[in-house]
Amino acid sequence: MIETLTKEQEEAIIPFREKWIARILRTEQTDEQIKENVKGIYTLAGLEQPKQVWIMDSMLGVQIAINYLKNSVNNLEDIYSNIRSNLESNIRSNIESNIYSNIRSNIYSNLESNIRSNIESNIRSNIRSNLESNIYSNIRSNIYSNIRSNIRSNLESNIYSNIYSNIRSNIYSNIRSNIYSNLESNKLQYFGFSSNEASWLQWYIYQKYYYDNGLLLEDKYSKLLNSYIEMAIDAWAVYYSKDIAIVSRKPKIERNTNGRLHSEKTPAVSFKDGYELYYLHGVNFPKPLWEKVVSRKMPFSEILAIEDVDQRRQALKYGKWDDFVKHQNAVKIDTFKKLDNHGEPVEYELWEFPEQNGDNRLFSKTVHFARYGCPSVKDKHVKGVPEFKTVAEAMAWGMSDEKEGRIMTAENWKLLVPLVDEA
Amino acid sequence: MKHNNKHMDFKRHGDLNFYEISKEEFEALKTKGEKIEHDVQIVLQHGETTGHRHVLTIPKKEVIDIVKLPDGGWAFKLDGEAEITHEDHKKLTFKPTYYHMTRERELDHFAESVVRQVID
Repeated sequence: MIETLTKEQEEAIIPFREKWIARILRTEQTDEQIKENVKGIYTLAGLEQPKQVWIMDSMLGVQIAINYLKNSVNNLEDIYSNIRSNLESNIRSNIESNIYSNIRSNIYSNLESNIRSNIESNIRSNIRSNLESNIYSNIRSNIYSNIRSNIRSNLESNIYSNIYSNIRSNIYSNIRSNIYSNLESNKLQYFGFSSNEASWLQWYIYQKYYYDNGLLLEDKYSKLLNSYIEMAIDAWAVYYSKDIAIVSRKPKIERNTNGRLHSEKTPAVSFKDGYELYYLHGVNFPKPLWEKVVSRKMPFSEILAIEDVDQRRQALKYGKWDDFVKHQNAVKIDTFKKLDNHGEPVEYELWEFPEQNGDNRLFSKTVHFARYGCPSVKDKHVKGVPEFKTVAEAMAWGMSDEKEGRIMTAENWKLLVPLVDEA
Repeated sequence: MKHNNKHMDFKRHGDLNFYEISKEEFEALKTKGEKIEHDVQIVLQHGETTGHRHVLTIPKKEVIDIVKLPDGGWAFKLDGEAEITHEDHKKLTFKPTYYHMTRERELDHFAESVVRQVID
């Protein structure tokens, strides 16, 4: 039983993980490689290879192709005209014609007559469970028999959980949710993908660490494991059915240093067919709003009027609060400072904006805003509050709900400790 | 009920507020709420633009009695400790007692100063 990691094994964890995250996000693979890899996954799972592998240029393209093949819309032209008017504003205007051409080229290169009937069964769960029983479960038993739980927890947290959070939570789930809403607005069905990297692969990469770093000796399962990882790592999102597999090309991804989707210059997610998503520090923006925010010329009044609090919080970073309050003759009427459980300060301010006259006035009466730091993220948040004299009253009001009988007093708000009672 | 006693527990996690309530208040809220199927992780709130989630985690599912309220809030009784996590916000711990979750509110001064729940 191995009870501790050597210094070399410990130091190898982070580079190993980062190397595989970079591999998951690389986009250099050829069409032939993608097709061979997808077919290889069927073989590894003990299934007959599909007759056709379609490559679509985006995950949305995969979904539209399935909708077409499943006959939920009558013909390709119907899809083309249907999605033209319904796609959300953050998508390039010619995407519908790109998807249309993409499907047509797949049909022309795969002259099977009965493609529609062959798409019926989604065999994703068969593939998953076969791979689990052929590879994953055997290696898991081996790990449990030979490696102490403290090492397993360390590696699970640093490899499995980290890749899950970076790829699945921060990237894949965001893209999938946007696609889901686009399909819904087009009255098209959503079909479950097998997102190899996002759902499964992090477990297999975690297992690979044991073999690559001398904790387990190579065996027949490690060979299968390596084959599977090499095949699945470039298959971004696959619809597996008996005779046809439809796979999405990988998107180009831009991230911030925390791994969140983020770019101030380009879409954070861009697929070849023009399906693009815009993010700032993990928060999704419609393209027009993203463009305004990153221009750094968005009037503060418009930033404060953004309804979604996560978008507003990000947009606030691009506006100049000091210029705004000076321009509006606003006055800071109260401040309060708390210390979190590590002794770090969290500051709260109450601002009064005076009534204005004239056609271009922003506020027709005196209004108040609370501006405060988030104890967890440390960025500043601004929200409208009623007229109060102290920021404690304003913050307590935000937490209260008189209708439900939940009332926070200013004095009790002062007693709440950041990172203990508030986060 | 005025929250004016420090012995009563209160937690704020992002835009979610958790008030400790009495057993009687919990029973009254239960009659308005809907029982949900759950495991040891319950998603209390899902951010529309981030995909991030406030997740309440319990050691085993029997530890909680929880209902979802019509206004999007929650009421729950904990028989053991629970934790709430989120991709951005730090983890907080709940002690075993009764809780009512409400949403943060703000005034929209750009729309006639109407009161609204904070949208995330």
